[in-house]
Amino acid sequence: MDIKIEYRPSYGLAICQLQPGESLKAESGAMVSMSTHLRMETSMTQGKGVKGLLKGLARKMFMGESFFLNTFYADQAPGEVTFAPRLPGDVEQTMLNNESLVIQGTSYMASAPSVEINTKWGGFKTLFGGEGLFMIEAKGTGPVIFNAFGAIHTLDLNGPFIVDTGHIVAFQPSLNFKIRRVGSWFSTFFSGEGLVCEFNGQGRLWIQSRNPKEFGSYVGEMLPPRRN
Amino acid sequence: MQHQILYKPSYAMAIVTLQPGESIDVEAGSMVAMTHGMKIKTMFNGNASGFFGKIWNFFVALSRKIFGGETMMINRYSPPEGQVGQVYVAPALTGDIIQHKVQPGRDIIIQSSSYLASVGNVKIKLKWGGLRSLFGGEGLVLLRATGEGELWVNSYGAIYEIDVNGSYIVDTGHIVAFENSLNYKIKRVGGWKSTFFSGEGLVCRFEGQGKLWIQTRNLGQLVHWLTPMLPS
Repeated sequence: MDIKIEYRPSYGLAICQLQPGESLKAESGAMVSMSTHLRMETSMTQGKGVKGLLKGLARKMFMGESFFLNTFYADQAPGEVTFAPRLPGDVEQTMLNNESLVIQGTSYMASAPSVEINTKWGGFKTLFGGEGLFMIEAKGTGPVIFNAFGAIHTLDLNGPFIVDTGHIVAFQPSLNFKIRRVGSWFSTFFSGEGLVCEFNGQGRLWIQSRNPKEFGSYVGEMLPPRRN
Repeated sequence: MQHQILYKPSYAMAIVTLQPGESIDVEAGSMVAMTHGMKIKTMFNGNASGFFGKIWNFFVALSRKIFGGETMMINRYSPPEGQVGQVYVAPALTGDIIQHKVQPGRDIIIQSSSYLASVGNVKIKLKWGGLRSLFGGEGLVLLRATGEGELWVNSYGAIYEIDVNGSYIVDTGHIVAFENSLNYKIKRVGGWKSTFFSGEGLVCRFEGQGKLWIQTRNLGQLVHWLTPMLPS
């Protein structure tokens, strides 16, 4: 498998060459183009049957994330599949080697089938943040592709570092973290920074140079009210 | 103070390194990340001190919120005692960042939503853009940066820098900042017919010598383009 990422950072596109017998799973809606002979199958991230469907629905309702994954198979012949996120912005890949990566939910784009996607990762107190922040865990061996709004900035941390929760893209679980307020209570309410994530330890962290919610509310406030 | 601006022009982010004793003022909500232990002080965006000064600051900040379309808070970040610290800043909008020195007698006028951050003894004051700016509906409210220090401004789209020598005309929705040495006038384009039908609305005519920064996209036009596409 060969994955190239083009048009960074504004309009990242992941171009994936699959060898016979290889496959890649991707977030529903991420596929841009593919060779005609590739076969696509749709599955749910959580389990099978009615129970899995209900869990999937719950995930969609509460987390705002789609619950279907599409898998692209190159059965007999090599083929190409390309992926892009909905928003303009960057795309990045990393190779997992029997390890985990924590990815901000809307940043997950695609991964090898040997990488398990766990949407129930409970490491983050997601609702506490109130920023719609939920994290998924990718675990196993193989490539993982993720996307961001804005450019992706990579940091190799060694010691404490603070990130606005709306700018987190992904991080290695060797980093520990806690969500906390910024400064005093006065600052928490008026600083416009809300909650931040304080990372500590050694590991890699990917952040995005724009916060999609901030952009959305900035432009959204200028739009006429929605009539129901 | 050292700084670098990465990911220009689409998703610019400034990384500012502060020496012990230095601090940076950042537009509320624009901090992306920072080193550990930075102190944060949230202030109304005004400069007067004392009790009545604080009340005055509140009204100044409130008027900026109402007329300037800008948040009323500024956060001041400073590194822990005797240490170096870093702050990463980026605006809400997609676009560019530039940095420029503010010097005594060389004030910078900034379109209000373009203020991002400043270091040193830079004061930011509300400057009334002139009544005529209201008619355009393009909300040209200006800030004036005075004093001495470094200033970062952001844009929607890329930033085009122009050395004006003589006169130059810019659509009001594309102004980012300019040196105070330039005189300016808000005007209609051509006759009244052109004003209504040219799609250009109001323009700003600059005269004199000085730097002018304009943005390659107009947020008002994005909003106008999006609005009819929203479901009703």
